[in-house]
Amino acid sequence: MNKETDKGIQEADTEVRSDDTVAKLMNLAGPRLLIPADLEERVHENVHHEWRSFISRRNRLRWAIPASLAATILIALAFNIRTPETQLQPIGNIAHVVGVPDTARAAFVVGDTVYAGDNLETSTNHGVSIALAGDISLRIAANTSLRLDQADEFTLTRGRMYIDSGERIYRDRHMTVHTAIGSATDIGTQFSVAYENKRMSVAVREGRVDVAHDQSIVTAEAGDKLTLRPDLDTVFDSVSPYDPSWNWATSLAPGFDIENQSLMDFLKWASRETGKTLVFSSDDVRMAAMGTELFGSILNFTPAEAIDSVLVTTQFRYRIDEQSITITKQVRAR
Amino acid sequence: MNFSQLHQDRALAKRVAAGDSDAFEAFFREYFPRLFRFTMSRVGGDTDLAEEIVQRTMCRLVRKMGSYRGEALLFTWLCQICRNEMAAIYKQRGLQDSRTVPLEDNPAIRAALESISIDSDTPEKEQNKEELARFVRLTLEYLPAKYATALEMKYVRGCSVDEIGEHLAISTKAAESVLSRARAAFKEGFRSLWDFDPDFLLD
Repeated sequence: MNKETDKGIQEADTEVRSDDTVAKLMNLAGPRLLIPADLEERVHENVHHEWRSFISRRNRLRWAIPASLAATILIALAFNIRTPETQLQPIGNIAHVVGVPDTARAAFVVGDTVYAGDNLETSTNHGVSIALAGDISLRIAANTSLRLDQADEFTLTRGRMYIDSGERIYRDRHMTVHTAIGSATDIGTQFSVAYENKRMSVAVREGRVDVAHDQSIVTAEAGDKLTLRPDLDTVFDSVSPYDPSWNWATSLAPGFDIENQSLMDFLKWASRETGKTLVFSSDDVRMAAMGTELFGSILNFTPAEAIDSVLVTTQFRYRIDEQSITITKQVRAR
Repeated sequence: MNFSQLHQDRALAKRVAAGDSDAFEAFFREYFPRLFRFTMSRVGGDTDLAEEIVQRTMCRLVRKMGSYRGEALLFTWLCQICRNEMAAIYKQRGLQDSRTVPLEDNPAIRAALESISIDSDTPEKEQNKEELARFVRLTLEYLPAKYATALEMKYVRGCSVDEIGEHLAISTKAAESVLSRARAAFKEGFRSLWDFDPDFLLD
């Protein structure tokens, strides 16, 4: 027998053995799980809907990038000038102000109306939050310049801003923030956008945000932080919802009107504003919080101050650590 | 690494990200069943929970499709997202998530495989055989759907090559070729997933 014949027999043996192994293993495994057709169709319908919605939003954003560049140029040319039409369109009110502006900038007064076309500027140690229609909170950090193009569209030319557009994901209205190098559109979320020295960063605290940059769209999820620069790859990083980098936005939280609200609603607000998980020591404590009605006012309190102020008058006690707010009930002494 | 599969995955992802409906359908029909079975094996057979996890995973993936660069197979990427979704849901609901530990990361697996022999029929080996069956089913989910179907038809349902060809809408000769490639892919998949040569199970 020559070498080639040996090789042929070896290959045939290997093939038979391979077939035998696969046959035995397949027999052992038996038939695969059958998936109910109605379940498959249900998931198909929902995933397809999500995919179509995403493609539509992305296509809209692709048109928005050139528009954002044009808007940035316009701002440079017509800084702080309102057209007669936009003067007539109020889009929100000043809700909270921290610090005072330097002499070159106008002071914001709580309750004042802001209009489409306004250009808002803050100085060092100065911040402002604006209540927009639909319980949407827009917050502007120190040393920031932001143009309010419309009620749901803004152009950031410098500094940092934060939007809390609520917990509902499926809404008709989405907030878009343009910078010179990209645009961010929320899908129901809390997120911040910063722009400085041709570097844009988008951080998502909750929900998700579509970011359009350099002819592509990236979706940032809760916990993602994206850094974008012209002609460079997007850098992904992570940020927790309770990271200290959110503190500036928490400090600008609009007050919560506790009058006739349940303790549970108040605690949920505090949890959302701080990014910390709300934990109850037992179901009894949770139920009791739902049944406790509050009175009074905590306006102008930070969330942490508000928790302390509200709970001190109740039978509840609390503990705040890095990640959570834990609610317990006071044990009565005999 | 299967570069041909990577190439196909990249092309499919690109078309889905571009809004091509046919590509979306191809993507869904190829990956949904595999991902669903993958998930079912990790959630203790809870159909409702598996449905929710798979839907969340696929919704997330279709939004991220444009950023797929083809460093890993699309199914591997899906499985990774799926594990993250599973862990997130378990955490949200305060559930014990020990079931989400990936089998392939479990050091006990190799030991279990080493103690198994397919041909052994002693009672104490029965439990190990069930474990092995689970490994085989998971390996199948990592194969392209066409390969898994061909192997199942041939070795579990006893279909002829003609019938396999008919089912896959290909010629008998092409079906033979698919079966041969499916066998090789299965063994390669088993080796790479479990770090164990399946031929040793016959010894």
